[in-house]
Amino acid sequence: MQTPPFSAMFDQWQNYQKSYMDAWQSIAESSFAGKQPGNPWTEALDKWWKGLSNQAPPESRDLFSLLVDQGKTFFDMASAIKGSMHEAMQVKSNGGDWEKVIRQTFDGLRSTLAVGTTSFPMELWHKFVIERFQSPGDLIPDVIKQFLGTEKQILSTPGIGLSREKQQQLQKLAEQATQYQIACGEFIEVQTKIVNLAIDLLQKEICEKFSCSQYPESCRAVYDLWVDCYEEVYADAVMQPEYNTAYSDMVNSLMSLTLTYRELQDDTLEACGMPSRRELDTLHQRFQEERREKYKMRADIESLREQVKQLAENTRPAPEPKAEKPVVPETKPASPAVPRRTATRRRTPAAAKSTTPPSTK
Amino acid sequence: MEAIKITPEKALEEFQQFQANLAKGLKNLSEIGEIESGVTPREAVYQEDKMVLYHYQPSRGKQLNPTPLLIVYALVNRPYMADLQEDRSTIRGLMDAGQDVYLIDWGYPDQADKFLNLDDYLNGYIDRCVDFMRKRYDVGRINLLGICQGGTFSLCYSAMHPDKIANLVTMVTPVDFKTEDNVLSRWIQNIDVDKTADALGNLSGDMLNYTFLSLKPMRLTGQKYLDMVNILADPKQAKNFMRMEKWIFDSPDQAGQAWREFCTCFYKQNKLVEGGLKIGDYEVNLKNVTMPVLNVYATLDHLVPPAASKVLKKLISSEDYEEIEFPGGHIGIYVSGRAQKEIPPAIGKWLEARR
Repeated sequence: MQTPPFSAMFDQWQNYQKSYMDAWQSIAESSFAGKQPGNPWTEALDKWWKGLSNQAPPESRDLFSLLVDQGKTFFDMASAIKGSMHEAMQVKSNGGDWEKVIRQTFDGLRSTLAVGTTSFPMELWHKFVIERFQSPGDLIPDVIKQFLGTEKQILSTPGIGLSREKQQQLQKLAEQATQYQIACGEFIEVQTKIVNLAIDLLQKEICEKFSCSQYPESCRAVYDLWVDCYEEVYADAVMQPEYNTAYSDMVNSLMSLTLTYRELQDDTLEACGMPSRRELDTLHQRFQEERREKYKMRADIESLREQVKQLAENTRPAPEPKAEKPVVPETKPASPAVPRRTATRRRTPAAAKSTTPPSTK
Repeated sequence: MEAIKITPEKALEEFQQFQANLAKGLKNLSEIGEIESGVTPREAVYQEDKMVLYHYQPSRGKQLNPTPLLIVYALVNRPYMADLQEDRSTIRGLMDAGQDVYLIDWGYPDQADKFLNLDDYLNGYIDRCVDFMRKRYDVGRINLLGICQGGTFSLCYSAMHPDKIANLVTMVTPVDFKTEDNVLSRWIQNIDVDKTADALGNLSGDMLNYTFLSLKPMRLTGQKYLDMVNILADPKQAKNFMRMEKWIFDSPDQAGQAWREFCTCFYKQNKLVEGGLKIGDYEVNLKNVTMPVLNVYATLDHLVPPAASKVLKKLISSEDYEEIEFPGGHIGIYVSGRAQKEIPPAIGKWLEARR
């Protein structure tokens, strides 16, 4: 039996996707579940929430998980910095290199903060992409490299025969998927740079405060300082061409992929004799054009009615003088040039439409 | 040597407080009930498709400005921001200031609405609402108040139909879409808007939310929720927070064609400033804006920087132009206590002076 064209390639593609998902999961596990090993604050908060979450109303559970996660982040971070400052304090009092102690703490924090913080935009983006497009998320760069190394030549092979166009469409889809994965990887790199710069700034701020003996007064103050540092660096970075290019490449490549994906979906639906997005679009577009014409005609009719009304008023015969009797035999008065309007109320859009508000969402 | 200020005892106290607030919050949130919004009584008086024109019911015996006021909200997010709760309602403030208030609610467009364009919105929906009100009150002109993107729409409308607008109020309205500090504008310059609209049909509310959260990611996705823990113990504050949260994420999708045109003509080509904007059969020339204009902007607005609004003065022909500068942000201008006290009365006073 002949192997369907490209089936091997797409099996491979699925394997890469699986590898990617496994890799992503492993990063997620290390960045969240295993993020705060041994920190009594976060462990306590975790245990507390695990015990309590069953009693929480289901609709509030997501929100509370979010709040607990935020609490863990800030206690974890504050605890590390607080410990470092205590140690630095002792070194300082002995005339030692206290900056080195703080630097070491930040080197330790860097990986935790970097993974946790850079995951924000990609996590949100990933969720958005999966929910909206049901298309694959972003591949880990290593997997992309592997794919590019082995499959790029296959993707560039021209299609032949009866299914030539379909082959090309599938090639295009695979190429666009790869481009999107690369763009995601580049966007993550930019995000990582931002986090690293933010950590540098936080370290600088802490050192400055330490040298002036201005110590943060609470764990929350340490966390707020971190947020300030991050936002300051971020605000500057997002105005730079590097960020804009990475962001737009990610969005544009996803849109290219989605367009091709939709075309394939439409082809499949039409082959099954089902209505496709394409067909609905044609109908909606025609319908919208007809609606515009309808409102234009309605306005034209309204304007004509006004003109007719004016004409009728202008051509209405003046009232006859009462004093004189007619010298000729009485005849029927001539009909007015324009018939008088009846008392029927004109249909306005307001009168024509129901005033009941539609149900929302 | 001065001791470090975060002592273990203090850290423990902070941790316990955090946990206690969370526990109280859990109880309060479970009893919070429905998060209602849009509090002022109103009546739907005109409807087309998903758009509804509402009339807010004035108090009996209240002397009202004989020229009704139409509020045009943005297509992004829902208009109940202007009537969020009893003590945070711009609409109620305007009514107290003697205005007879109407509001356009755009509804939630779906894929069947994706071909709605700016002409449909401005010279269609808005124009027919304006005509409806002019007939209802037997007046030639009405007052128009536009909010954010709705302000841009109102401005364009006033330029296209100056004979129908007596006074124009713009609130946090972008006019110059390419000011140096406009982050959204920077981001969109390299986005392939046509491809995006072709691919998605409508632009999803989720995508817009992602973009808005990305403006200040740590504050809006982390710090904000830690602040929330501190207020959860107070049921009233917790409910206020949840109401705002509901509004923020209650984002309708954007009709694809209108979004495409808005991004292209305004964000990319900046045609209100550069000129050459055409909507439907109309040239949009801001020099046609000759009616009195009140421009309200917020100094800390991260979505519509003040410079993006203030340029309006130079672009219109109106000889009666005033500004109100509010020291707050894009949302604070509707919901902060200070805004409630200052903004609606000031708008009301300005309109009353131009009856």
